[in-house]
Amino acid sequence: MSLLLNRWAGRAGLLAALLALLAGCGAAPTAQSQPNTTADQSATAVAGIDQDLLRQVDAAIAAAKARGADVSAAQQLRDSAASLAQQQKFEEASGNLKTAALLLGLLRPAGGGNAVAGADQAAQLPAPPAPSRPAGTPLLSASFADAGALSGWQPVGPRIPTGSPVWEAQSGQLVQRGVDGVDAVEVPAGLVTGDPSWADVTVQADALAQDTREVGLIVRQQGDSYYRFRALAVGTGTNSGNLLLEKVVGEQVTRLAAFDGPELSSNTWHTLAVRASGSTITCFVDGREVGSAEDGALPAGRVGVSTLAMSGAHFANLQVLGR
Amino acid sequence: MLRSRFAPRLATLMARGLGAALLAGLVVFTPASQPQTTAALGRIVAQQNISNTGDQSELPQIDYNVGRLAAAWGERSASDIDLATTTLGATWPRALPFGTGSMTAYQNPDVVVDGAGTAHFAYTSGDRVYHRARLASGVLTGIHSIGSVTFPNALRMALGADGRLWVIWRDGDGNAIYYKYSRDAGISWTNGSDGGVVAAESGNMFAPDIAVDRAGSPHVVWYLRSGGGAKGDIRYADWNGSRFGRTSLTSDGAGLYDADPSITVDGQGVQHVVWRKQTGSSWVIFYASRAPGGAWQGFTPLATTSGDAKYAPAIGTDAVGTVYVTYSNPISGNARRIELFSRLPGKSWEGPLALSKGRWDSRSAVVGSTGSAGIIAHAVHQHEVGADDGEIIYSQVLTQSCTAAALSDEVAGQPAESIGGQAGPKATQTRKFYLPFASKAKPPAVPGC
Repeated sequence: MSLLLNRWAGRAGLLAALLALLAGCGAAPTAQSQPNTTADQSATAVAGIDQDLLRQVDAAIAAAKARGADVSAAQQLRDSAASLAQQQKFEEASGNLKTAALLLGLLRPAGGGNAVAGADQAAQLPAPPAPSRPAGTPLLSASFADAGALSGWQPVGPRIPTGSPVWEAQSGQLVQRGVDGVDAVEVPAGLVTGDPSWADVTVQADALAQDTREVGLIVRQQGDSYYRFRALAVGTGTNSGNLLLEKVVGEQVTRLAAFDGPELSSNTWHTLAVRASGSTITCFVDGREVGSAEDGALPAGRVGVSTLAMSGAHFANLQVLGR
Repeated sequence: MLRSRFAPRLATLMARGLGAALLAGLVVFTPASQPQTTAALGRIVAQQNISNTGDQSELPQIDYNVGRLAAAWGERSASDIDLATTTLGATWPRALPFGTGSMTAYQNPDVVVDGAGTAHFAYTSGDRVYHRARLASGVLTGIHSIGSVTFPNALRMALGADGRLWVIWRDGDGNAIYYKYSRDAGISWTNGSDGGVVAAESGNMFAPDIAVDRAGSPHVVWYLRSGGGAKGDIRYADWNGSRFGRTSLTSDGAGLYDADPSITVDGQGVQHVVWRKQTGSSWVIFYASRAPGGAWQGFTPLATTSGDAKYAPAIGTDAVGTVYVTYSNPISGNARRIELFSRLPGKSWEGPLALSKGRWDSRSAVVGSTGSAGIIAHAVHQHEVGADDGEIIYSQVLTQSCTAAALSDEVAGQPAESIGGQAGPKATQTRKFYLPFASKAKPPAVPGC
């Protein structure tokens, strides 16, 4: 019944009287376009879980499925609520049922805001561009088609004592999934592959930063030593300090250069490339050379991608080219 | 307008988008500079960058007591723990760095302020746990060893009304949550009959937090990162006077992942917990409470995040039982901001109030104060300004002024909008939608008002 009214109306005497009148008339519960909040007591007033809300959730799930919408999360919450109620865990059950209603737009969050603010950003990601064909002799073209595509890849970066960085390959993309898939630890995380003898090569990949602070590339990796090109999506806010070339030797990080250039635009695919030629390391963004630096300490090694272990970095179309 | 103590950093901060809000170190906001809010809660009355280093400042904590505020955080490259203290209404002076050798991305400090205004802080370094304190006079105590375990991290600290200090931490593999307490202001540390182990179980015990109730009993929460069917479940443990006993707060399994619980206890002994809950590809900031001796209840989704929650929400309270929640919400593009909710006793949740504009604001902590200045939320958060360079930003939010508290009592029963033009507090506008109709219930007494 209370779902008939928004939260303000629920506190107004006149409308409260109307509510009572409608209740007396036996009006059926109906989800409205301006929903109640998840803090309202109506969802916990009934022993167990609110049967009215449960029916509305079921109806909304059925309607969404009929439209072909993905409501698996709401369905899972609904099923969990039913299971918890059977275990006499009514309060937690009610919370999960409210959350299902929240995802379905039947309720608003208790604190306000949009009912479905947590829309899946991943669903809004643009597809990676078609791979370009840079000049040179192809040495590697990574498909990232599925988990098996990562069999020849190894993680690099500082040890994270509280867990492990998770990388996923699927549908042509390599995606960093934070630490253990749930935690954001803002320390460097890389993934490398290839031949330790690769010396003069160009590594190129399309990269997209979605709710992460940086993406990058690695060249000449052997052990815990490598060159790393970092392209910041959340940098200085100016035209400098956003494109960094570093030499990593163990725990020692040496900044070789900071190139001028803006931060990477968010949720946009950018083409990053690093060319290692002799002692010259040259960096590119979207086909434009942003700068180079001289360092001869690391003569050869594998290549890969770099970001922070905080999830949100996407890579595609990684290619390695020799001379 | 107060003079900045950090002039050398101002130009950089301006360029980096923090904006005019921090121009003078501690600034009273004008409406134009205040972050946009989507619901009435209060207003930001001051903000300050309290770290001001070129280092990665991270994982801040804050506490308030007897008119004094204290904040502590880590400085990554320097492997320092920084401590800052101030009095209510004053600017924060430059923080004190302590060369602890902590691996601050994981080995964060925590801080509490006791009834004498002493700021106690605890931290971990290597395989050891330490305590130190700064008296209200500014005098520093010596370093006190609390305990040792392999790579202690995720430390939390709490203070009981009886003056007992409690510190908890996890080991590097998450095999157990450990604790010690001190009855002598941190000089010596001991444990109960359980050997100093809150709980030990498989499943990688993560993100512990602790709060002490009015009876002096601590309550600890954490979650299981792995652990089969219990993966992503939140546990809690109560102190029975000699040891901790463990049970579950959530038990809905791995598919609905609950993580990063934060706990506080109000003056009535009610425990309040907030955490982030994964629901498919989105996350919900979840809340539940528990009266003394009761069961957990009121499981409530407070907010949905516009994407990956990533970071732990924080919770705090004040002397009248206001509950404050902060969390990091992704906004458009690669940007996140800290948002604040609050709830006065017996009232509805209010918020979110954006404490920042981003661009990347992640971890936060919050506590409240009451007094002649009104009911105030004090929050700190981690704000990124460049590669490997984060700052700690303090925000002061007036959630209810003394006069607003009196006014809301006077006008109970009137349409809220009708009071907007009355002389005095701006809080009449910020809270106009939350005056209870036909309720004669008085707002909570505000000590000092």
